[in-house]
This record gives sequence, structure tokens and C-alpha cells, in this order.
Amino acid sequence: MTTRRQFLSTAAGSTALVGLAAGVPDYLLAACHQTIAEKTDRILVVIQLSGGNDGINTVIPYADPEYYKNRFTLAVGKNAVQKIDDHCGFHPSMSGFAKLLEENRIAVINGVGYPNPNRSHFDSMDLWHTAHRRNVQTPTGWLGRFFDQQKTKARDLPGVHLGREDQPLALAGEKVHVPTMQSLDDFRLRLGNRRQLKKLMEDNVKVKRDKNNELLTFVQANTVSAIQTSSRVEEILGKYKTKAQYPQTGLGRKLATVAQLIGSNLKTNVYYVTLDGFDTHANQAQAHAGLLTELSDAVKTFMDDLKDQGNDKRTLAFVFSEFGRRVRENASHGTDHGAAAPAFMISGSIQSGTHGKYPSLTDLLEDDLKHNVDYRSLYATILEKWFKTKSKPILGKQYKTMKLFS
Amino acid sequence: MKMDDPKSAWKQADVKNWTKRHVAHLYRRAGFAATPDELKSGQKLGLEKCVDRLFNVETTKFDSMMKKMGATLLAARETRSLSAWWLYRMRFTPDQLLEKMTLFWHGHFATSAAKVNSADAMLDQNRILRNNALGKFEKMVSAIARDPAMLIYLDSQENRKTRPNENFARELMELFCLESGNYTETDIKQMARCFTGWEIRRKKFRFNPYQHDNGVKKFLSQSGNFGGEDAIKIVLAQAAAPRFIAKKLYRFFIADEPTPSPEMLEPLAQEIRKSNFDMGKTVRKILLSNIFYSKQSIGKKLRSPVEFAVGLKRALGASVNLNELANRLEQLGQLPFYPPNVAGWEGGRKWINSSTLLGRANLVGDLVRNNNTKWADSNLAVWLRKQNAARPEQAVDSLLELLVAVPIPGAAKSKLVRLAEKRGVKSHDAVADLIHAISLLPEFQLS
Amino acid sequence: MRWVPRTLCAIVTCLATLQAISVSAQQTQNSAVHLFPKQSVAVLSVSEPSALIETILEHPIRQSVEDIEDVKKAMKSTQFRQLNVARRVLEYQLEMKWNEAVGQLTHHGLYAAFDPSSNGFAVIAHAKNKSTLNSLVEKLVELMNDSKKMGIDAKIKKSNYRGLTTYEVQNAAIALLGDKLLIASNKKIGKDIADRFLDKTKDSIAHQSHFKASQKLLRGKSAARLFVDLKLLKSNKQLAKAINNKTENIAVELLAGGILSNIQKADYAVSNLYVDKDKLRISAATPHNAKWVSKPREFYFGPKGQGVAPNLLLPSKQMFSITSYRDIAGLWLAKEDLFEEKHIAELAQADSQFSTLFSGLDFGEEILGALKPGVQIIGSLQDFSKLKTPKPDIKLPAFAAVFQLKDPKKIQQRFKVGFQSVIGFTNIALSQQGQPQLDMETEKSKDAKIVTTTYMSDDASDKGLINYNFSPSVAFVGDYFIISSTDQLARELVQIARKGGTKTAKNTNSAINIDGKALNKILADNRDSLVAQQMLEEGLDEKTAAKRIDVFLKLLKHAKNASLDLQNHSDRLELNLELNLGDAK
Repeated sequence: MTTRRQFLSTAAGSTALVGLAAGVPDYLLAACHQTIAEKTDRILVVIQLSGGNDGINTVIPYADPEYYKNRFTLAVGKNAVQKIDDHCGFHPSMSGFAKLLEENRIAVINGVGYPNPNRSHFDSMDLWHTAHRRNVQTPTGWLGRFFDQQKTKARDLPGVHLGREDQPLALAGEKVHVPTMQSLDDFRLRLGNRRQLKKLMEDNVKVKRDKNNELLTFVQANTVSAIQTSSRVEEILGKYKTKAQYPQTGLGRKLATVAQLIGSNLKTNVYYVTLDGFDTHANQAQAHAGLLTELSDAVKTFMDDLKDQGNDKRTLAFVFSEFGRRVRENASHGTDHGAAAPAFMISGSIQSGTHGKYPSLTDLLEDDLKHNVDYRSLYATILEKWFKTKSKPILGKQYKTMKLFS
Repeated sequence: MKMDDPKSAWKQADVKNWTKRHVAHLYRRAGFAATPDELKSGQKLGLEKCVDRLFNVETTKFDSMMKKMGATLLAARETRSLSAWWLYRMRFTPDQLLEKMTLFWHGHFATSAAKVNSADAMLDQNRILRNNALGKFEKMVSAIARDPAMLIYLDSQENRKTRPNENFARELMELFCLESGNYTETDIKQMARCFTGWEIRRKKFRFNPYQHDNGVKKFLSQSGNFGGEDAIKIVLAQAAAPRFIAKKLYRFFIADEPTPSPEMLEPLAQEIRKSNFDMGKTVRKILLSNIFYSKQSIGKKLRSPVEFAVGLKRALGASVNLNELANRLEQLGQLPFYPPNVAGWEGGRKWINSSTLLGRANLVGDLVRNNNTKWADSNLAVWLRKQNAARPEQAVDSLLELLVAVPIPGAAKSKLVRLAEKRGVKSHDAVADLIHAISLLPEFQLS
Repeated sequence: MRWVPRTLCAIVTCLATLQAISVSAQQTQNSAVHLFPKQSVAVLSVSEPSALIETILEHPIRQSVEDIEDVKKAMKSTQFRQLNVARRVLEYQLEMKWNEAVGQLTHHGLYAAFDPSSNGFAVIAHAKNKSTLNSLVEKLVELMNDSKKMGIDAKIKKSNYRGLTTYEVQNAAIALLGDKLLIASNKKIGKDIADRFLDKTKDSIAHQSHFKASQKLLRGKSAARLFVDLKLLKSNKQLAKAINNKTENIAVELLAGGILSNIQKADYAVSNLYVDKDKLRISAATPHNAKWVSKPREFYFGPKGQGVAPNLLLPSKQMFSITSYRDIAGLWLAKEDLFEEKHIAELAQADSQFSTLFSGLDFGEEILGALKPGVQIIGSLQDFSKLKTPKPDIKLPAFAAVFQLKDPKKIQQRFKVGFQSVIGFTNIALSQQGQPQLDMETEKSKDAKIVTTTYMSDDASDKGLINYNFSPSVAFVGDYFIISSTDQLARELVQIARKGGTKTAKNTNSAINIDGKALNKILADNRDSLVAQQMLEEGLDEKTAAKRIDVFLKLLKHAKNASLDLQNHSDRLELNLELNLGDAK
């Protein structure tokens, strides 16, 4: 049984490709190589928290007396908070994030939002997805525009959405279509035990064909890459058994699948998953704690798994929510829709620690936190500094980037 | 025979040796697929009669059954069941050409149920598309311009005197009739005024005279107090209009690429103009033309997901769970009634990537092996026997003729024959595997 | 005859070559069960197998079942046809119908047992008498000899055990024990039983005290009876773990929590089957002690296990009704003890959302806590002729949930306002989707307060909407709190509530009742939809699809009534499932 390292070290001429390479015409081989990820190819995993995450109880300003004044029953005790610095700390449920901080793999960006905050779930989420460009006939998402901008010939899927919900608008592009998957099964060629069929398929695709039919050549190249992908996934499922024990939660399972896909060296740049349930208007304490546990445990396991694979330096996880919640607790032991909130970036290549000033709990805009960082700066930073591509055509304007990566 | 000369390209073809492959190609493009019986009878009829029998097909009984089924399904107001309903229609209709054209127009006048969110309205629009699919294009545009589903989709439920809806005017010219570059922004602004007063109230069209701008409008070199109908006439009178429609029909029927030159399209555009945008006559001309049966066309298109799935089912005589099929087609990128945006489905190479190829391969495998699939003959082996394809090599030939658009390399074919010889072709499973193996060939994706 | 399945031939051959041994004039008085191993974990007794078979074959429902497409397919399969041929050969040889043969062979019953200590399975057919058994056997010997001549050899080894002639086929063993025929799946269990027969030892399962006790649990006529040794079963670690684990979700806990507690402690269980042409009844019982129910599960049977299901409010067009004693507040408050972490977190989320509706009242303590233990859920046909709104195209039944309040005056207003909030949210959501909104009205009549909502419907395009099946309402009368999907049903239930409802039988913890006629009407009303769905699901044309649906509807017409009840006696728990069948009219 191949160890992970052995398997990965042959990625460029992967075992699957080696088997197939014998007899594959050159022009096809060239196309194939474009579908295997280079060691320098970077990956973005977007984790969307739907409902409006209460940032104040996620990154807790334990040193600020205003916190305790406003959160009569929801405030977390000073000693329970997992300290990040002198001012703020993680919610007690987020031991995963606290450990990532010790390992210098997480950046906490405080006060992320945008001018004229919109407190409607749909509208605000649309703004995050489209980067404020939604009043057009066919709105596209920022990532969809990113895909449209990439120019590559034969490629695997540029992005994958994993989950049962409708595909997030962020991924919608004009030209590129991103699939929504529920599991790795969607990538497997179901031939059952018919090895004969499989061999026949592989043999037949290698046969030389009339180069004059460009469409046929195109299909042939894609068929080769489809077979490869399927073989890689089968190999991953068959041999690559991660030691990581993912929590059996919704997010845990999704990230486990993402880790498998990353480990199978797909040339996919973006993975998108969501975690729902953050709209805690009443009796927030237990519900929120549960969600934060799910989030931080799943992400920590995910990053550890990637580290084992050797992929954590080229993968960036980006956690955000469509808005934060109000400073003052409401009468139902919950909180209502707010504005600014923290976002997180987790990677082996991140500048760990806090970025951006923690918003003031007293200098408010309509009773909500003022934002210090425009979320589009984060997008610009990801596009320019992580993916090394121009952000202005995608976002419409040039936004200031931040120093987040080493 | 290379089709360099536009004039001869569109002349009626004189195919000396009219084979089953020609029939298969015709049905693949003009409909969804031919059954073995249709191949046999079609070959005997020859080119012209074969094309003729695609037109004016009797469907009254089928239509009333579909209407009843539609009404029942709609009782639950589920827009998703519409897709399954239409797939059922595509699979079982006696009139394939009409249904294929309806699908074409659905992509052209793209409207998505996701935004319109009214099964009634979507079904009504579908009816408009079908009723006018092979009729006069002007009538189609008129009807669509008033169609509630379309106007809701284009955010054009309102068109006021003080705020003419430019979006609607733009799409009318850019997407439906002329293509961009053939009008100016001023044309749009002016033409928009023609449609003021055209509204959708409570999901019904009405003309509101109080909102109508009665002034003189100047666009596309015309000037006058035009209403909406006049505007449509003017737009269609532009030289660009028939060329645009010709270009779209070329792509749909002849080839995905390369884009034809204006000279090549000119005879077809002239036919459109001469017949006053009669789509039936135009399509007939295409289906009879030299270029349709030339190397420029055969195997030069990629099957869309719907063509792929419905075509395969028709050819094999299979019936499946259509709700499930709808879900699969969504994953493959083409769910009827849910085009991705107002430009419809781009098609061509966009249909193909690793994920969709795997999806297609799995779709075929599941279709032929699923115990719930129903076959017209009791099973595939019986079906194959009826085609007098009892021996392995005959079976392979017969299947390739039926299912694959172009000849495959000898090396590939001999491997298939060897598989057929090893497993035989006397059991359902053996034939299923053979069909699955054929579907895994790159050539299978070609139309 | 090569196509006759080998195993069948083998068994036939076995029986055929059996020779009568030591003809004992005395008929042994002991039943077959008195021969089964001491540690049998399960014992099945069928007293009159051939009568049972006859009832099933002659049943009016048989034709309808055979019309089902899948059944038709199975009956055309090769295996079924082979079985038929074998049957005819046998009948020819025996000179009697197969059922008659079965009747003679099992005149005094058919018995089976499974013994984990020998990992063996044994079947005993208690024939009419020794001579009948012998003559049957002789005829089968002939058959086997004939088939041997034709080259079919079932490979049976004739042997001898302590004077008894035995036959071995692969691992299985067959022996003639007086007027009983024994078929054992392995030699170990075969020997155990044969020994007991020969030595007349009194250590069979039937002699054990727990078995004797179990036979007293259920009374009444039965065609078949099953005994299960739960204690022995629970010694299997995996099974024990499954039973003792926390339930995965709240629905399971509500349905079966108390039963699980009982199974954790009960040592055995029995089950009876009764069939006649009108009725099918299955009853199961375990011994019970109120102390066995853990404290967190007290919500299920009540304190000291004395909870009784509330009186049923039965509407005239009842389709189904469920009445059950459950202290839901108790369940909610004990959730930490009952569920896993993950589920508790999910419940906490739900708690949070519900509390919002009730302006911050604690969901578990104050809202659920306001309810008396006991809940009813009722489904009823609707009278669409009396609708004020347009008629819907798809016709659904009406549903209601009935609770009783501990302190009506205190909490009534809260619930009423909570209902208003729900309707408010719903109206906004409805308008966003372009659907008609609900108009609310409050009626006060004598001692009752009814809050009804009706869909507004002035838009012609809204005709036939499925929404018109619903006019959500709540009603308060006496200490009753009724939530209903239609105002019609709410009003009807209020009237019934005033009279007190139908008293539930003593010891009834929960009862479910389904009215077949009403169920049939609902399906018949929606036949067109069912046909359309069938067309899509199977890709059929209308005629074929309609035929299939009609076969299904006809089959259902046989079901007149179904009921399930859970009885909580001081010494036992009893679960009864009853299905009343009849002709398809």
C-alpha cells in the first residue's frame, strides 16, 4: 500500500497517468499535464457562515467592560475566553482555532464589513457574493468572474461547490460552470467490477484519430482527463486513508471530502462550503456554542490533514458571514442583525494573529459596530496576493490589499 | 466534398447513396434520435421523403394527454416537475422536429423558472414556443414580447411613459433579433418608448394606454409614432435580422464551429427574408441542403445533455424515472426551464469537462443496468435480435450505426467486436455492457 | 426432470428414504416444544399450519395482490415456475394436494427453534400419527428411487443414531421421532433433540420457568406464537449496545423511549399471530415493572407508570387518530440525559427559535410545561363543498393536534399571541412568493375561543391552489388547546371537546387508528395526480400508468381499518396491531 508521501511524490507523473501514458499521443499528454495541479497551484476554501455570525461572541473583547455591560446573560467570563492578545480572545468552544493560533496558522481580521450596512440576509449575502455588483441583468459572483478571467485550455473544474443547498452566487460566472457535488461519488466512473469495460475505455481513448476533427480531439483530451480524475479519486478512496478523525458534523464531513479532493491533486482552485444556523435571535448561548464548536473543530482537523498531505501551505481557508450582530443583547437572550464582524483566514502561509483594529463597542453607527476593513479588500488581497491575478476587473475598483501572507 | 461555395452549399442535396447513417444524422439533428425501425424505413424513403415525414406530424391524442398531465402536475404548483414533464414530452412525442425546435427557441428566448417562479406562466410560455416553433418568427416575437414569464424574467413588468424600459428593448434587439453591433444606444432608448404601456399585472399582459408614449420615435432609420408591434416589424426589417437567425440556426443544425462566414450564411438569410421569416420553410431548406450532409456538418456538433439523454432513450426504446433524469441533467448543465442566464445555454465545447463526461458515462451505465428501466422490447437482447444483428460483429455494426455519428477507428472497433465475441450478445447484460462501452468512446459525444 | 432444483429434490429424497423405525404404539403426549434445546433463544409454534395456509390462499385479498405488477413479474420468473413443477410432481406422487399433505404432516403443528449454543436451527413437524407419517414417507421414498434411476442423486447419507434412522444432507440432519419429523440444521442440535426424545429428559426449553411464565403473558386464540429470550439476546454485545445507547433523535425517543427502557430489563417476549378472512392481528408482550423505566424516561409512561392516553376527540370523517400519554415537557427537560451532544445542540437551536416566537418564554419549562401530559393528533377528510375559498385541485386531509392546558387562563393568551406571530411571519413569506395571504378572525362562542385564518382569494389566477386545503386555526375550550390546519376541523373538535370525547380503554398508553375508507377516499380523489406522477416516475403512457394505479387502489380497498395500541399493565407491556380486511368494495 502506497504511503501518502509516495503517492504524492509521483503526482506529476501520477501512477494513474503512468499507466495511461503508454501509448497516449503527445498532443493529448500535453493537455493532460495541464490538469494536474502543480506544487505552486494555490487553493482557496471558502467557508460561509450563513445567518449572520455574532462576531462579538466569537472574538470576544474580554478586556472591554462595555462587553459585559451589553451582554447581560450572553457574556463569556474572562477566564473562560481563550486569549488571543490583551484585548480579545476566542469563545471557549473554539479550541480548534486557539490551537491554530498557537501553530501560527490563523489570521483574525477584525471589523470586516462595508459602507451602508444592509441587514437583510439575502441582500447582504448577495453583496458579499457579487462584491457589490448585483444590480445587473445577470449578476455574477466574484469567484465566477475570477474563473472567467483565467485562461487555461483543458482544465479540470476551476471550482467545486460541496453541499445540498443552491449554488452560491459567488461562483456564478458568465462562461464557466461550476458543479455542485454532494460527495466524491459524483467523481467516480461507475463501471462496477467491469474491468474489461474500464480497460476497453482506456485503450479506445488512446487510439489515434483524425486530427482534423477538432471537436473530437477536444473530447478525446477531456476523456483522458476524466479517466484520470476518476482513477485518482478511486485511488484516493482506495488507498489514501487519512489518519485525521473528522468530527461527524455537517461541516466536518464536507471538509473531509474537500481534503480528499485536494489530496487527489485536482487542478481545482476554489472549494466552497457553507455552515448554516447563525441567525440566533433568541436563546443564543447554547446554539452558538454548538456552531462554533462545529466550525473550529472541523477547520482544525482539516488543516492538520492538509499538513500531513503537504498541502497546507498552498491552501487558504477563508471564513466569513454576511454580517455580524448587535452589540446589545435583546430581551430573548439573543442578538439581532448587526453589521461589522471578524473574518478568518487559515493557512500554512498566513501571517498569523490579529489584523485590523477591533471595532469600538461604543462608537457605533446606528447601534452597530463600524467596520474598519472593507470586505472587498480581503477579496482583492486573495485575488492579487494569493492567486496573483488582477483584482480590478473582477471587483470593479481597485481596493487596498492587506499584508496577510508570508 | 468541401462546401466552399455558399450557393451550392444550400442547394438541395442529391445524396447518391442514402444510407441508414444519413437517416441517423438527420434524426439526431432534427429530432433526438432515430429508432432502428425509423432507420430502416427512412433508408427506403430516400432523402426528400425522409425529411418530409418530419413535418406535419399528427399529435392530437398525444397533445391532449400531455395537456392533462401538465394540468395535474401544476396543481401542486411545482416548477421542478415541469422539467420532468417536458422530458417526458421530448421522449414520447411523435413530432420530434417540433419538440427539438421548441427546445431551440427555449434557449433563444431564455427564461428561467427559478426567477419566474410560476409553473403556470412557464407552461404558457412553453406553449407559445411550441405553437410558433415552425411558424412565422414575427408572430413568435410578438407573442413572446407580451409573455408574462418573459417580461418577469427581464424585469420588464413595467414600462412607463416617464421611464421606458430600456432593458426590454435592448434584449429584444441584442438577444432575440439582431445581435449587438447592429443598433446604437439611441436606437434602444427610442425603441423602448414604443413599448411603453406594455405591462404585466397579476401575471397577465395588458396594454395600459395611459402609460403609452404617443410621440414620434426615431430609430433604425425610421421615424413615426410607433407602437410595440410596429417596432417589432421595423427590427425584423433590418438586414441583420435574417442573418442573425440564420447564424443561430446554422449553429444549431449544421455545426458548432467554426463560425460561418457572412457569405456562407447569405443564401440562408435570403431564404428567411424571402419566406418572411417562415421557420418551417427555412428549417426544411436546411435539412435538405448539401451542407447538412457534408463533412462540414456530420459529427461537427457536440451533443447537449438533453440530446444525449433523450436521444439515447429514444434510440434504445427505454423509459426511465424522469424526475431523476431531470436531476441528472441539471448536474450535466442543462435542465429544461432553467437556462443559466438570459443568453440561454452556450453549448458546444461548454458541455464537456471531466465532471460532465463522468456524469454522462454514469448516466448511460445506470440507464442500461437499472432494474427499473423499462424497455420497449422485453430486454436489450430481444431488441437487438429484432434488428437481425445476431452475430457479434453485426451487433457492433448495428449499434454504431444507430448511436455514433462518425465512423470509429478500426482499432477501437475491433476491441468492441472482441468484447462482443467474448460476452456474446444473447443476454441483456452483455448487450448493456456493449452499449456502455460504445458510449465511452469520445465519438459518442458527437452529434 | 433435470430442472428441478437440487435442494428440493434433496429434501424430498430424504423424506422418501426414511424408513419407519420402532413403531411405538403410544403417542407421546409431549408437544414438540418439549424437545427443543434448553437454551433456545427463539421458539415458533404454528398450531394449524394448513389452516393458516388455506386462510391466506383463500383470502379475498389474494387476487388483488396477484394483480400487482411486481408480483406478476415474480410469478413469471424461472424459480417460481420450477417450484410449481416440483409441487405438481410431488402432488402426483403423494396423490393429494400439497396443502393436504402439509396438513397431514403438521396436523398437530409445526414448530421451530433456534439455539445459539449449538448455532443450530431445528424444525419439528408433528404429524397426525405415526402411520400417516410413515405412509407419506414411503411414497416419497418411491419418488426418490425413481429420480435416482434418472440420474438425479441428492447425495444423502443414510445413518443411524442410537437406533434412530437418520439422514444427513450436507450439514443438516433429519430424523423420525415417533410421530414427529425432525429437521436439524446441524448434527449438534440434532443430537440434543434426539437424545431428549429417547431419554425423555425434562430439561427442554418448555420446562424452563421463564418460558412457562412467558406463555401466560398473552391470552387469546392464535395461529402462531413466537417466544424470544431477550436476556440471551442481550448477551450479544452489539445488540445490547444498540438498545442501551441514547436514541439518535427526539422522534424515536417519543415513539419508543419507554419500550426501549422495558427491553433493557425484560427477560423474554412473546408474540401471537391471528389470522382469519376478516382480520389480521399481531400482539407482542413483555413482562413489565414500573420501576424499570429510567427517570429521564418518565415522560413516556408517567409517574409510577400510570399515565393513560387522553380521551379521543373523534371527528365524523376521521382518517387517522393518534392518542398518547406523553409528557413532552418532561422529555424536553430531560434531553441532556436522553440524547447525544450533537442532537442536544440541534434541539438548543430549535429552542432558540421557538422562544423567539413566544416572546422569550423558555420553551421547555414555560411553553411545553404549560401542557398536560397527553397529546392527540387527528387527521380528517375535508368537506370541500362547504369551503368559502375556491376549491383546491389537489385535495388533502385536515390535521389537528390537541393538547390540554394545566392552567388555561394563565397561558391561553400567550399561545394565542404566539399563533398570531406565526401567521404574521407566514404572511410575509407568502407575499414574497406571490401567494395569497391569510386573514385572521377571532370567534367567541360560549366558553370557547376560536382563532381562524383563511386565505384571501380575489385573484382569478389563484384558483385551485393547494393552499386552499388550509385555514390554520387554534381553539381554546375548557382546558383544551387545539391547533388545526382547517377552521372546519377546529370547530368540529370544539364541539366534541365540550362533550368530553371517547374514553380510552384502561391501561392504554398510546393508540393509533387508521380508517381505511377515509384513506381510500383521499387517494381516489387524487387519482389523476397519482397517475401523472406514475407516468413521470416510470416513463409510461397514460393507460398503463392508470392501470397500475388502479390495481394499487383496489388493493387498498381491502383495508377497512388498522389500529395499533400500546397497553401498559402492572405486570406487562402489550403491543397490538390489528388490521381489518374485507372485500374490495
